[in-house]
Amino acid sequence: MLRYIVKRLLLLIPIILGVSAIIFILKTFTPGDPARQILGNDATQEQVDAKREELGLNDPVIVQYVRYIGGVVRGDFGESYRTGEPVLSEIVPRLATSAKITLGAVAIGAVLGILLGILSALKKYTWVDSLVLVISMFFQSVPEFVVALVLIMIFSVKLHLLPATGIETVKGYILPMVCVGLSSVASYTRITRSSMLEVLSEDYIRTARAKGQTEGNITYHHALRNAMIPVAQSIGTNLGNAIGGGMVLETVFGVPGVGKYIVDSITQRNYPSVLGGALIIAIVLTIINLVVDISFVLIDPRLKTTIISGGSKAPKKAKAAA
Amino acid sequence: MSFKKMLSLGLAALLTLSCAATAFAVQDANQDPANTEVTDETLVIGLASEPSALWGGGSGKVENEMQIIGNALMDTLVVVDRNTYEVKPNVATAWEWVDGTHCKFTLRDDVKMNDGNMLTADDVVYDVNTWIEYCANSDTGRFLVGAEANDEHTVTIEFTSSAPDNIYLIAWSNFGVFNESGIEAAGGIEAAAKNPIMGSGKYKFKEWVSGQSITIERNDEYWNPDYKGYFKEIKFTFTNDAAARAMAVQSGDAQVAYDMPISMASTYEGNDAVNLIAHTFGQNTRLWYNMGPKAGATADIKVRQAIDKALDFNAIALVGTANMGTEVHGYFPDNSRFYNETFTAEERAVDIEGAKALLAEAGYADGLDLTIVGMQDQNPIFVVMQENLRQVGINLNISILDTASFVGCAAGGDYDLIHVGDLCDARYPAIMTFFFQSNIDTFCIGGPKWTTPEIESAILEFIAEPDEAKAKEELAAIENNFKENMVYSNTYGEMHASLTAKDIKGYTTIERGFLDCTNFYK
Repeated sequence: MLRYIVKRLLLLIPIILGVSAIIFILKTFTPGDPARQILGNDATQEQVDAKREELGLNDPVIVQYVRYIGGVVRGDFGESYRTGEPVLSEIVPRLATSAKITLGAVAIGAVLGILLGILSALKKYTWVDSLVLVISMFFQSVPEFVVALVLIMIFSVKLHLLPATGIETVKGYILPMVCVGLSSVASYTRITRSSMLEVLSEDYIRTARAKGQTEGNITYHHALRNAMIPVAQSIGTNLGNAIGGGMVLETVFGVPGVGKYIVDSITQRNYPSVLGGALIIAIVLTIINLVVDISFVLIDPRLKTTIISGGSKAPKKAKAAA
Repeated sequence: MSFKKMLSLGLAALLTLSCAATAFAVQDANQDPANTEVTDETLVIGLASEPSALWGGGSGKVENEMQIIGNALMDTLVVVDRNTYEVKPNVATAWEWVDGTHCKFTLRDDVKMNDGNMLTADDVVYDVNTWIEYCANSDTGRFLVGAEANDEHTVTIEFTSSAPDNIYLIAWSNFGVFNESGIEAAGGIEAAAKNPIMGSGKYKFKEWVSGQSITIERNDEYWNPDYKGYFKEIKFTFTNDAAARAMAVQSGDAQVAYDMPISMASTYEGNDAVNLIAHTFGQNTRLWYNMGPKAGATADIKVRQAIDKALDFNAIALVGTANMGTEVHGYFPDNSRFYNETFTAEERAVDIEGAKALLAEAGYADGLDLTIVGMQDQNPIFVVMQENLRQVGINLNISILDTASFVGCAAGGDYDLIHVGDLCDARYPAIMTFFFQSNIDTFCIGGPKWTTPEIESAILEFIAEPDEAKAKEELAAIENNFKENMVYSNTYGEMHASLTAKDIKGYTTIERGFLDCTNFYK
């Protein structure tokens, strides 16, 4: 297991190199001079040229890139062009805010999605099944920022229950969490439904019924536990999606998270902040996926061989004990 | 009557009605009487973005949000009444021009700074030196030479050039006065930029929660007993999305949504929950024709004249101001001391055949392609221009850019047409810099990228002219020169729009139409 964790952590190196290289290439082709951005529109060309030299922007891109990566290795993500503060010190407090929203969103999405998926499976091929499908697909199809504005309109403007923007109180987290969470409901619903239908058709469920177990007992004690394994596995993927969705919604809801920080930095051509934000998100996502993979092994020991060996020694599908 | 005519008449009637309705529904800024009470309430103002600092003097920058918040924290020597454009005393009770470049200010002797010390002439000398040292790139420092204390409460400031309206410039909030001991208490110049505790303003800096809010609190020891700050605290929040800012006011989370896109703001006309405040701020926008080294077809005056004839300026103004403003006919705003009606309404009329004839004379009888550059908010205006020009055979390519790209493109002269304004509520030394050779490639965002020594000299004389009536005549001559050369086409007076909660009064402004947050009350 330790070897596997180390191996996965080493994968961070190509990921960091890849993400930073892509952003560096984009930066090279993007119009707008960071030096002028820092000095303002009133600066003379001589001052801009001097600033470019000071920042090393006249060096070849590969030299700038190697210099940057060298800094990252030492924990130096550069300084924000806008505020002059170290990028890392600006991102860390924002990361905590984004994490709260992401985790809340995943929880809301998972709970709603699982409940709807169970309902859909139990009422398969009925109007309830169709209705659940329509509702979950609706929230997946409508852009999150549209859902955000509609939710603000209902819960803030009309009902005065929740703040429209900002996170000064706990209430401020609710709408962003719900908004991001709703977009993942369809995914959880579909996975839960198909997994439940598969498990409900297993022999051990038939045996349980034959033994006179109640439907509720069969559903919640025998079927649901086993059906949850693929649902739990999808949480890792949805965490990544939630972070991406949250980036846009942080801007709409005025939430001071990493997403808003990156979006603002992009419009300001604040490259160190964009790079730092993107790299830290990449690192966080990689670690989250690693933690999720390890947690799978703890949930279902059968997966130990599959995950740790990369699937080469995967056993044939074993039937779970009822 | 044909269907087309009936439809046209119907649309015209609807337009007239909507304009009339708008005129009644939209409030102007600076209209309310002053507040006389104080409360313990907090005012929440939604801004679009967070400033990088709160004091331009230390950061060397000027940002809109910095001006708005900084104005509450520091006092300027003089202030400008934004209704009458009259310069009024503030911490300076009197001023007189010693000569064209030296202005002597007499300071009040009862201005208490936040650290408990009283404002002296030496403080103002220190301020001027700081502005020059730290703000050489911005308008805060580049027009100043130095200052000298004549006695404890008299100081003479020297400007780089002769301009009577420098007194208007010194009233801008970036010239807020501070003292050296206050700067030291804040931790030095750079630290003070983010912890501006060194002023004497109506409000004091309280807290900055990065990414979330900035809070200022009423200065209960403010030197001016006539001023009452109704709100104990003012909290600024930052939400990029204008719709979300507006909904924060509708929901009661905030009382002011500042800087709404004019087209979006107009949809709140007649809304029961909010007041719509829309106002011009002394900046006329115009369509500039590239006449510089990178100019294409617009180097030909006949092409420029043809475009001017083809454009429907009334429609452009209606779209650009969301039916709340009108087209303009002069370089300066029509409420300015120097306004000249350079173009008449008749000259502004659309003349398709005349435009086609001019294009034919210029060798473009078969049409031509032009490119206009701008940012997203200008797209609807460009669409109107595109349709106007299509009728005379000009294919207008619209290039919408983000801010940084636009600035690069506009500064470099990479366009045929560009639509930008010039703040002209006074004869600042920075006005009409589109025509200063030394500035064309650096300071100018847009413009014709063209000038002559004669034009530059005439503008400098106009700025320096002490006799306002004569200055107005000089400006008329300059504008007529521009008109003869068809350097630009005036379009409309730019507008700012904000939403306030229904019970909020006292919307006043400072320079460039920025919000003055200190005068709100219920």
